[in-house]
Amino acid sequence: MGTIAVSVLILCACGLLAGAALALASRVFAVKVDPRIEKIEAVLPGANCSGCGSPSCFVYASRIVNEGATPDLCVQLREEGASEIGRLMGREVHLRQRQVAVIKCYGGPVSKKLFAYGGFQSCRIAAYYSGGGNACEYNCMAFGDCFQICQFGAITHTRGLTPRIDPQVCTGCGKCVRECPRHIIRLVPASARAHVACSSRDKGSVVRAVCTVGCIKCLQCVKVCPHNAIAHIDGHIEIDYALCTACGECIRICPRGIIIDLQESYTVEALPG
Amino acid sequence: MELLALFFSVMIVNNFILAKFLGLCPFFGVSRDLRSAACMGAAVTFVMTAASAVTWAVNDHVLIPFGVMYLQTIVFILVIATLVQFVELVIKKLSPMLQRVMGIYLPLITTNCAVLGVCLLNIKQQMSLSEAIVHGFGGGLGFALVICMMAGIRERLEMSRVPLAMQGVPICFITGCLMALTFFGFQGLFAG
Repeated sequence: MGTIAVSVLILCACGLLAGAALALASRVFAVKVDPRIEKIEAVLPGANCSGCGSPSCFVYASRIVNEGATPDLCVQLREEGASEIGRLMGREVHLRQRQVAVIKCYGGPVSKKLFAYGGFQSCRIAAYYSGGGNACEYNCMAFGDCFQICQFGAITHTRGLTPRIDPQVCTGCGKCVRECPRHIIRLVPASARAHVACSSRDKGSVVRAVCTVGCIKCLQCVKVCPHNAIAHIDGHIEIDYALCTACGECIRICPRGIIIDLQESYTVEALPG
Repeated sequence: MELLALFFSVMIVNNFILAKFLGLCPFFGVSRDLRSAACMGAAVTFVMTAASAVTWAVNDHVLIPFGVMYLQTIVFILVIATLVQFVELVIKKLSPMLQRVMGIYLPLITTNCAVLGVCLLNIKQQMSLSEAIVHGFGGGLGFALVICMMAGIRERLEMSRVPLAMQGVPICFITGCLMALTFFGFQGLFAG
């Protein structure tokens, strides 16, 4: 009994002493923080998504105040927030164009299967096992790693179907872009219209053999584009959104129907799985 | 002379990471680039040295007089955590530059097993205060040395072609094993 009492007493004494010492130290060594940092942090979304390159919203706020970082790095900041920060810092603030993530694959699980994959249900792991049995090396494996990582609930995922990203909710933080082991998620301007939903770099005949909704490199979109915004680069079709005027010619001409109109049809219901 | 032998023995022969397998979490967690590894190494060296001195004093003046040696582990954890928090507060006030270098690593090592390990070993091997401090300092430097070597290797690994199944952490584990094997070549050079 005595042993227990003594040990409890000593431990409590140590704890109290340590606590008191720390409390004293925090008074003596208190650092004054610029009040603007706190106010700016309140304006920032507080999601700590690190899309701006700073590990947390607090660090970013202190960078804005101390190092003159521009507030437009925050992908989620809206007009009101930006002008509030501008008012606090006493300078003009311009927002960059909003970006949203899109998956460059139309119907990932449509790809032919080489074998039945029964392993762990994760894109990252399936990618190590011959792409989870998918014959297409560039498809969405649809285990939903991007759905797991999204902090904003912008991605909906039904088991076995390619996830859908809601452009209204997506903040363009780019976490899913980094997470995807196939590297088929891209950030595009929110105003973008045409989007090629295939990232295969295989030849047309190979694509045709493994997938019914893959890009077969017929290059009709490249030819039809009146603004030379579409190019065939490294084996797949790239749209340069700086040149694109959203005329929609390519959307109409694509024989496989895989150039999607992001502004109109990109709802969960409108796309086939 | 004896202190010098102790210093090199704990730094290289009985290295905390590669021979005693302590502090493996920062060894794999913070060794991705050389800069952060060096900062982590500096922070650990500093905390180990300070913790050795403080826990030795606590042991000598509190635990032994009250005859509660069995409370060593829990009291040491408490003392180390307090010490690290205290140091962080002081650094924040006095040197923002140092705070930027070590700041985020200090909270990470409040409960680091290498730091606790060095304190417990000091007591177990019945060291004097000066020996304990040298032991802590040497152990910390050894830690910094190995984590920096690991970071250097990992920076090269980023550039090289690693088989798909080995990419990332698996290749690091293997690298760690090979480094441990290499360091075992020093075994027996110094007793202790």
